[in-house]
Amino acid sequence: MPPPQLWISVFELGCFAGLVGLGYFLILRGAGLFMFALGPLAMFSAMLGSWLLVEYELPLVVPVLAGIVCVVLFAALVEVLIVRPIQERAGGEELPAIVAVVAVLFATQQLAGTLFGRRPLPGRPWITAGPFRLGDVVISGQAVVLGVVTIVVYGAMMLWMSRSHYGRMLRAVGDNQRAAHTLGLPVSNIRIVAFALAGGVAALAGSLFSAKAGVAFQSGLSWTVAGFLALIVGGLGRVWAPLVGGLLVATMQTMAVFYFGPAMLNYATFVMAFLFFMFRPKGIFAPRVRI
Amino acid sequence: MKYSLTRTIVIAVALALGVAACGAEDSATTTTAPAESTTTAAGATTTAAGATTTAGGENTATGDPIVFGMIEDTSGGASAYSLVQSIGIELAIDEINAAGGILGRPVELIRENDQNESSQTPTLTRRLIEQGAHVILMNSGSASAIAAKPVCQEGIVCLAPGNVSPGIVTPPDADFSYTIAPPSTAMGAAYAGGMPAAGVQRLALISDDSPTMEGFNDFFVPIVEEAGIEIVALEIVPLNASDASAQIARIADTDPDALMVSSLGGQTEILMHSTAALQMPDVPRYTIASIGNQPESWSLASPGVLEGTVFLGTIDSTNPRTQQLEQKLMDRLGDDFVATTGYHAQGYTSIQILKLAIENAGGTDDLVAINDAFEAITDFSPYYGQEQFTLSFGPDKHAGADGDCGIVLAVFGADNQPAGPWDVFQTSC
Repeated sequence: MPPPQLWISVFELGCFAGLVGLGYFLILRGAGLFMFALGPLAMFSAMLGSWLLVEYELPLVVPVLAGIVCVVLFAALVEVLIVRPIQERAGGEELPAIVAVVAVLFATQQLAGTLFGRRPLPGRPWITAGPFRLGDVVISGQAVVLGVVTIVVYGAMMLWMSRSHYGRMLRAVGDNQRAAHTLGLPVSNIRIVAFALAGGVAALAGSLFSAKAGVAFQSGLSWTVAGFLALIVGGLGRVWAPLVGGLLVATMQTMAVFYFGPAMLNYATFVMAFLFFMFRPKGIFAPRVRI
Repeated sequence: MKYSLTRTIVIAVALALGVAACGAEDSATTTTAPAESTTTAAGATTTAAGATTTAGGENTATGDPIVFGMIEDTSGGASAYSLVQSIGIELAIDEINAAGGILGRPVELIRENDQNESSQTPTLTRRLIEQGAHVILMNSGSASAIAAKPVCQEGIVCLAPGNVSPGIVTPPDADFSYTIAPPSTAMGAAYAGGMPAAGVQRLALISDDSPTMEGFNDFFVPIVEEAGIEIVALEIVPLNASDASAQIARIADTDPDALMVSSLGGQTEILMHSTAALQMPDVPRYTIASIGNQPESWSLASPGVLEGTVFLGTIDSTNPRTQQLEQKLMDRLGDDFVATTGYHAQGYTSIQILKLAIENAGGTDDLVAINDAFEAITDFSPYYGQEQFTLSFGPDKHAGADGDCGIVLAVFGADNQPAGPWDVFQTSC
């Protein structure tokens, strides 16, 4: 049996990947696009918040909110100024938009490095309480906050998508954008909402996770892959599927290192990704088509 | 919603391969821009008359500049200490220029950023030489300094201010390469004396996966084993990893007396310390010279994480030369000053030694003469180490440290800042 402490790491990594994966889910449902720039957006929020904290010594809530608001606007602008025009010019082809999003990924990383410096910036725990000891297990205060926020965000998203006007419209657009457009749904607005929400969720994730060991401008790329794997493994069939995917990937990665050493981390990740791409490309919880 | 999953998966796999390739590299690097190149002089601009002003506005040096080339790392795994050393280097150069330069000539600093990618260092070193460098400062990782040796061997002094790998100064191709920091063998000797004094018999080692640390561990482990300490675990954490829990859990299973953290410092080392503090709070920790000399990294750790950690420092606050340097740093950095570290002092000292060598060589017309003059330097008093510590060189001695008293074993306090010397053991001259 692995040490119980490892499950705390699995929980932390899984929640983080699950939040970024939720961002992917929202944009995929709302705009039919894999938003690979979400990792750097999470990084940007964390770095902006940390920079404000270090430079101006503001109360924590101000830099965190500033980071989230900035990234929400950033994500919405990416949709309005980059993704939508490119998709329209490409006649609905998604490849040019994906390439553009990847360019945004690298541009965001470099922008963060230019604005906030190329050295890591400290993250800050949201609460000073902890760590809490439960038998052999030690849980940091930030791990508790990350878990609570993840549950609240996912709960809110599930309610929003099932009960709210825009949430139901997002599902409709995700099922068939052309039909939604024909029915007069405000597809453009829905896409912007999807991007903005995804940006907000990713920004929240970045701010929470950066407390672990700080954040650097290079962090975005690995965070992007973490969220993407969470979505691929979890699937698109349920709102909470990326969280399940994130926890599964985190379990595999953590246990692979524990049992076989750190050299196995990349191999294990590749094998898992390859198996899902080949045999279960729609994830564990695949979307079901009602006939 | 229609979308081509296949195409997206292809792009995603390519992205993931890129991330994994970067993660498998020996250092944290960006995956975008190639190695950067800047050629600005440190704090200096050149007037039409060829005179050089300093950032402070003083100007007494004229004539062709003496060019110090510098390989640095501003964004990779060595950036945590490279940038700190640069502060000491730039301070020294500005002071020298304000005082009339070297032999009446201004000093100009030109830079190349190898991002701690040693495969790029030889090419970048050649670029510096082509741009007129008379000496080279190797201000990146030890692996970079080693990679540059064949280029330096062609006839230009290469001085590594902060690197500790003995490989830099051992043949082949070591006739023009120098170090001034206490070597890793001396660091091993410090812990070979200190750890038994603290009752450590079973030591676990956790290290990052940079080639610099791999080289350091290869020297360090045999030294402590020879002192009777058993290495019960050796775990590796990739640079810029998000988690080190599994590695710490494996170490905890071996029930060590102490944990040695071997890292370039920065975010990765803080992750190791944070995880160890959480999972093994009662196991004493030791570390090398990196994190103890990186004030920018101390704030990355949550309060108290570093408390009690013993590190290999080189700053003795009773050394009058260190006190002088500290005042200069405080004047220069103002509110940004946190602490004087060995990296500041080694960067500052490196410029002073190069100045002495060039003066003794009579100028820069003959770069081999600079090397001969460098080899003739003895009993140089640096700005770090204990007061009696000196640097000496010779044809067969390119590691300048005379004895082990360049090392000061220090301990972190509850505020994650150095709290003073370790009261269990200190090296002697």
